[in-house]
Amino acid sequence: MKSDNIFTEIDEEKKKAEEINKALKKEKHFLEDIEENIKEDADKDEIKNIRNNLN
Amino acid sequence: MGKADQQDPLDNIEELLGAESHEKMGSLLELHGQLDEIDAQNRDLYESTLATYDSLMEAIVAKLRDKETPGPLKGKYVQMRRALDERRQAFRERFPEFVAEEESRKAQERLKAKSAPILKSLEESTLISDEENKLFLRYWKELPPDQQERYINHLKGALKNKDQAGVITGFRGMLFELSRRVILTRQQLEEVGGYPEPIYVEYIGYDKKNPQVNKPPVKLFKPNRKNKEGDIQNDVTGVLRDGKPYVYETKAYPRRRFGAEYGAGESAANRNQLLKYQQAINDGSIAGASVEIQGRIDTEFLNWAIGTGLTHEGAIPDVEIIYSMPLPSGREYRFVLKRGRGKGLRFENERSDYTIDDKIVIRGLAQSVRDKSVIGVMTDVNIEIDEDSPLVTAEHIAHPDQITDPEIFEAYNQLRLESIWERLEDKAIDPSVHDKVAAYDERVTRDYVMQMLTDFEIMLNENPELKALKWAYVVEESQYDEVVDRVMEDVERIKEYELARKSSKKERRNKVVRDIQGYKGPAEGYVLDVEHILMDALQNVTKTGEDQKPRSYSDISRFMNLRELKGRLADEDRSYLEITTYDPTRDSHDSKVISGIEDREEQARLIGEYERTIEIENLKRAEARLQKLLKKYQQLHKVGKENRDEEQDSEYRDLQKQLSGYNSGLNNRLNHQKSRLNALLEAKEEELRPLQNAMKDVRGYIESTGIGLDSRAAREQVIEKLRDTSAKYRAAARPIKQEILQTYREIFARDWESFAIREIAREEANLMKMIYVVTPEGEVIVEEEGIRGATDNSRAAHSELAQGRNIYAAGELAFEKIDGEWVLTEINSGSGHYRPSQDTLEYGKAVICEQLGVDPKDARLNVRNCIFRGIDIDGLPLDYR
Repeated sequence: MKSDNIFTEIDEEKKKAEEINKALKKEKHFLEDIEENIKEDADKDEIKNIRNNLN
Repeated sequence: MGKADQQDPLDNIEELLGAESHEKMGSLLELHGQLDEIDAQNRDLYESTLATYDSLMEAIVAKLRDKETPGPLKGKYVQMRRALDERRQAFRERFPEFVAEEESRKAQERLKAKSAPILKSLEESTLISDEENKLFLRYWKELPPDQQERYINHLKGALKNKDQAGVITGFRGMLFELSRRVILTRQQLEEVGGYPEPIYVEYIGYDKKNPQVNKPPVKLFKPNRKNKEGDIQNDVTGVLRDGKPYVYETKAYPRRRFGAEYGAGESAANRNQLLKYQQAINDGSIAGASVEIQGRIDTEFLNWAIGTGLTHEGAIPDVEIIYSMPLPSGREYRFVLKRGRGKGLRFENERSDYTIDDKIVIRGLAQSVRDKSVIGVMTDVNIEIDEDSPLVTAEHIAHPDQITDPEIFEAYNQLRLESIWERLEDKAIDPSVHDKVAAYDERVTRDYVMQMLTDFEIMLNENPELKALKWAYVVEESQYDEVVDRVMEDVERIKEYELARKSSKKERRNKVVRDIQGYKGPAEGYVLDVEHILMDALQNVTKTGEDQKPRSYSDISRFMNLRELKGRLADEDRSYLEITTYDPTRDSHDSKVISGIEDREEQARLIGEYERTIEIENLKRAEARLQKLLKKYQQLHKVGKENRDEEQDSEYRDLQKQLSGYNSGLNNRLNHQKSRLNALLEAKEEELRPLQNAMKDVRGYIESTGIGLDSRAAREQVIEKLRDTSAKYRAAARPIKQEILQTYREIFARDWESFAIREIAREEANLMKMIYVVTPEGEVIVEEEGIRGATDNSRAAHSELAQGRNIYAAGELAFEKIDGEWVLTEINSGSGHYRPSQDTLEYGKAVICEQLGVDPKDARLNVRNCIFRGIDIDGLPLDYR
């Protein structure tokens, strides 16, 4: 019983870590997109768009 | 590391849990591995995301600086930067676990950057040896980061010191502190954790600007809540007892004496720190406190801390003082110099490292604890100028605190330690040779005594600090012959007596009696050494003042024996009550002693009377102060807001603040109370008037009462009535006056303390203190010692009671009046002249109890082995042999 609990705990921890992983990846991609846009000299509207997305 | 630690943890799991567990354990480990991998990936992702944020910000800033970016777009970028910043903040809040890591990493980087140049200047310092530098680094690296930073700050401060010897002492003090921490961690005798909450203390201490440390402290120190670290800070943090902090403070004093005054309030500051600990212990906010001292200690401070008499526990009864004695090899020996009432710090001397030289010094230390000379080792400055150290002059020895030259300091420090070791080594080699030469020892000749006197006076001249303390031992060279004559006279008399005694039949019988009564010391008894005979002779010659009693071994009729005392005891009264007050306007202490009054009612009346005089004085002061403030306030008010200059305006506002309590209701209360008092006074006048008239017209009084008294009896009757009436009104007025006082207290709030007289201590006792010796004949000779006041200089010495002869027990006795009976409550072995060992206590107790007719098993009787009044030798864990 006890070891089962350990399994569930670790399993849950792993799931949590994976979710964090996803969230972090998403954030990173999001930022990389913006970076790309800035580098490519996006125009006023695009920047406005980015800003809206940011909020 | 055991072999088992290196094996795969799964290897013997089958044995322990069965085959199934093996499989489960395997997949568990696998899962752990995966989790660790994701965690690591997440950490990287977090870091790189933050890095992306940073580079994005940089890119935006670059765009904003770029002249080619169109204006309207710039506005958008500004908005974007703000939005990104907020998002970055939110991002960090979403992943707090990474933030903590990030911050600790940054802190480490900061610390590294900060410490590098400081550690470099330590390495380059010519004042600090490589060895000490390495030791510091070793200790420092073991510290948690916050402590590392603290010590880097310390180190920076120490190295910056313009006083070069101060660099060395500051650095070594820090090393001492650090080593305490390392030893504490290594020995694992104490629980070490984090402190839960900062601790704040309100306590009464000494004013640094006016350190009157020989009186009770009066200055109230409020808790400093602004300080986030709390009021209690100590060097070796983290010791816990039952979840409460245990304070562990270190003090390294190689140049100055700990507790002494050097002109900047040090004596007050040192005491205040310990008073604060004592208060925190009283409050229950800390579990206890230990202060470990290395170096020099002030004698007066020790008296203050330990207590000087049977009724004085000392100012810090719960604070422990540990002493660390450096040894020739550079190691140390630690022992408890003053116990606290609770359990002290747990430590062990790490004895395996000691060299032979160390062990000899420790042996001497044990011996000097036994013969009670150890306090002198720490407080005295018996350093002699050494021809091998020409750098160190008498001036340096007298004022080591003023040495700033590092070379001289090192030479002085070495000289100081060597002199301590030499004294302790002498003790170890032959304890009797060093300090006990009996009058009948064949070495004692006139030349021997003259040499001893000359050496002693030279030593005093070389140590002005000591000379000032020992004024009663200072003689001119022209007086040497007189002193030596006196010593030789005493020596001859003692010798004659002791030699005759040795071969007498009576002594053989006395020896048997002593044996029966449990005596276990040397057969010849405890000898008064010639050095002490010399000291007494010096005090015979120097004490010529009117209030001074010259020391003398003759005229023994001055003293009583115990049987005589027993007969007189019942009639004696030593009831003593002392109320100490403090007047802040004069910054002076005053005390009222009510002694010799056992009648409780009478005592209470006298106390009440004294309290009333203080109340009346405070009422007068409060009233005068209030009137002064009101007058000034009204003046400024009249000037008008427009016309007041800046200074007047601030004074006006200040007055407004001071009078805010008064103006918001307390004035009504005060007026009401005053009118009640006035009504009472008027009633009193009314009632007194006919009596006063009667005094003027006694004849008319006799006629009006018609009781046929003669004029004298009538006058007495009127006076009686006048007295009664006054007393009646005085009693009725007192509660109203107290109410008024209370109102004034509220009006003035904190300001009250600045002008009102207040009681700061009340001591009560009914106690007699005696010194005693047990003579070879088994007679107990006693003399009472005044417990209070400056009687110390005038009381006799143990050697006078014993006429300089050998004794079989000596020390102090205390009697306390309990339920109207004098009860023997303490027998101790505190005699500086004879330094009897604890072996004498059982015998002394037997003789004293027998002669007093007291039950030796009476639970109220304490038998203590005294080293310095109030300290138990038994408290010193000098178990090393």
